[in-house]
Amino acid sequence: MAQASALHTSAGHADDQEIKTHPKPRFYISIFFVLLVVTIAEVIVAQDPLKSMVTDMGVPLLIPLFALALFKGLTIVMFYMHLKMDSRVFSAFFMVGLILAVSMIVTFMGLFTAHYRLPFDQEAWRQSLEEGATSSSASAATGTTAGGGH
Amino acid sequence: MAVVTAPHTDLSMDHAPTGLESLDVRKLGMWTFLGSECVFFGSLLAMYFVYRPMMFQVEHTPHEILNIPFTGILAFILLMSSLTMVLALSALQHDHRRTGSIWLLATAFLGMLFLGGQAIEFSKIAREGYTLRNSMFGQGFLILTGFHGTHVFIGIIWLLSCFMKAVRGGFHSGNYIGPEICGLYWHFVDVVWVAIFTLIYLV
Repeated sequence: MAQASALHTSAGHADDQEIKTHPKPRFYISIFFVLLVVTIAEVIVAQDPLKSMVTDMGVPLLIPLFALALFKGLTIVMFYMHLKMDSRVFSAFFMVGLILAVSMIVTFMGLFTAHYRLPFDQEAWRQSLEEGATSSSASAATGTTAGGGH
Repeated sequence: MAVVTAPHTDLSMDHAPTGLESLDVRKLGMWTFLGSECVFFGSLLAMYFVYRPMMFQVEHTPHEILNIPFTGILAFILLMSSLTMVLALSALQHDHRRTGSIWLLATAFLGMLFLGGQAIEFSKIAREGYTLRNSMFGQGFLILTGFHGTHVFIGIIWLLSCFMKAVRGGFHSGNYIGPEICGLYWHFVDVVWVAIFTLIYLV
């Protein structure tokens, strides 16, 4: 009986100290409004005329948008997911996955998009498609194949 | 007779755990899972970014295909669901069972609204010809947002199950690990949407 009551106490109500350290709902609501303002800012930055202003200054649109998204993500992780108030071990386990993910994105983009850095002539590409279609229809009409074999 | 004690879930920095043995393994498991989910969504984003230049050489840009203001409203809905989720947890931590249950239900409802909006968006772009089969943009976009939507759907089921347990008094100040872990998953889904909304829709 004594052990049962001891068990109930240990798994029972949190002590006053714990309750005091939980942030109040007002804190979470203020975080929400901060996130809302940042979301609105993101949408505004991505639309004209602010989008043209940013690109005319020579700044890639990705930079301000990425900065805003990073701020939002970190705010949600630190305050809504309580990572700031929790053990560093949780942060370590999460950060390993996050670092792996970012490294993978950067590596894949470096490996597979190098050829896109050359300027792409869309008009020439369309012309080559049309020429290819024309030559294949012409050879089909004369009865010859592209390879020349029988 | 062995005495079994419940795991200590102390959030106070004054009583910060000094070793792994004082951590709740369920929370640790969830954080590990979320780390692996980062790698999962990172791989989908990497796929999208690798094919993105090719998509825009032959098709329209996302700004021309997607409805940014409508998706901004969906982002707001998901953001609000994060707020209701954290308010639900706070209420249950303070033994406000009814308030906590209502916030849990509100979170699930907002998640369903979000999925409804996604369904409208998917049907719109399918009508315009961007599908999994005939469009590179359709493939990249639908796979990425489809997997995210699946995660939202699983989260809604989890939330409804937490709601039913909360209504029966299963969660209180001494036991709130269920909604806490559910909250971690739900907030992560919101973080992923923050990344998708910025990198796919806005850039």
